[in-house]
Amino acid sequence: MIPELGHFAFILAITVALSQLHPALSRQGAVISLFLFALSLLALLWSFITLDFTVVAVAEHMHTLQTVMGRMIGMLSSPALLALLAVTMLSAARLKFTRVRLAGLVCAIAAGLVLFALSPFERLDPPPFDGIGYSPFAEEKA
Amino acid sequence: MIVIGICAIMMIVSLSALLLPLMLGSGKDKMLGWALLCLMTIATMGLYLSRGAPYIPSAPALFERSGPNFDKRQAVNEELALLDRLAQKPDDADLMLALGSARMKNGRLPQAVTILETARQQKPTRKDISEKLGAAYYAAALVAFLVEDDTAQAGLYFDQALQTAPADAPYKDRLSEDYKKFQDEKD
Repeated sequence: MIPELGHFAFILAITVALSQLHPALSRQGAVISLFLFALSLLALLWSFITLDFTVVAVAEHMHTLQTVMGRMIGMLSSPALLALLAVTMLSAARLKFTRVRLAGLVCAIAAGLVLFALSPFERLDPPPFDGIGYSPFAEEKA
Repeated sequence: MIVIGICAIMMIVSLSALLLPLMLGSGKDKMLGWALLCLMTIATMGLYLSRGAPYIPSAPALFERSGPNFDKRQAVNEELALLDRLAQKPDDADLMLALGSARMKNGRLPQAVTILETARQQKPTRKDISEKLGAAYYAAALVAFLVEDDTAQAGLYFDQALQTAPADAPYKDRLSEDYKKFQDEKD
C-alpha cells in the first residue's frame, strides 16, 4: 500500500509543481509540492527498509542475506531513490529562490523525467522471494 | 479501496490548500481557480493512468496501448486468465498447452516445461503438445548454456528436447545443429 501512495503523491507533486507558473500560486505550490515529493521519497525509503520486493527498484538492489552495510550500499546504488532524493532537494531549493518562477517548471520537468525514465514505483508480479540484488554468497558460489 | 480513498483524500487536501484562496476570490480569480482545479485533476489522473495502476501490476493502464510495460501486463493477464480457467478444468490438456505457450512467451521456461510435462502425461499421443514441450526444453537449454553458463543443466535440457521433439518438428534440424555445437564447445 505504501508504494502506491508514494507513486500517487509523486504524480500529484508534478502537477502541483507545474501550477507554480502562476504567480498567485507560486509560494503555496512550492510548499505543497515539496511536501508531496518528500512523502513519495519516504514511501520509497520505507519500501527499501521493509524489503518490499514488489517494487522493482528494491528487488534489483536488495537481498535478504545482505548485512546492514550491504543494504545501505544497495539503497545508495539505486538510481530511482537517488533521483527521487535529487528532485526533493530541487523542490526544497525552490523555496529559497521564490523569485525564479521557472524553477517550478524545472522541478516538474525533472520529476517527469524521473517518472518516465526510471519509474521509481514500478511493481513486480510475482516478486522475487529473496530479491535479486547483490548476495554475499554470490562470490562464494563463483 | 483503502488506497484509492487515501489517494483521493490526498488529492482533495493538496488541491484545496493550493487553490482555495483563488476559488474563494471573485470574478476572474474564481473562474481561474475552478479551471485550474479541473485541469490539475485531469492531468493528475491522466498521468497516473498512463503510468499504469501500480497497485495492480498486471492491470493494463487505461491509456497504455503499446510499449514494454503494456506487453508485460498483457502477457501476465493472459497467463492469469488461463490459470483461472485451468482451476475450473484441471484436466484440460488444451488449456495446459495454452498456459505453457504463454509462459514460454513470458520467458518463464522452467514453469512452461512443468505444465507442458503435465499436459503430455494427460495426452501422451498429442503431437502438438510434444512439439511445444520439445521447444520449451530447447529454449531452456539455450538459456542455460548461453545466458546462465550452466552446461550441466543445458545438457539435461538438450537431451530432453531431443527425446521429446517429434521427428517432423520445424525446429528439429536447428536443435540437432545447436546440440552439436554445444557438444563441441563443452568438450
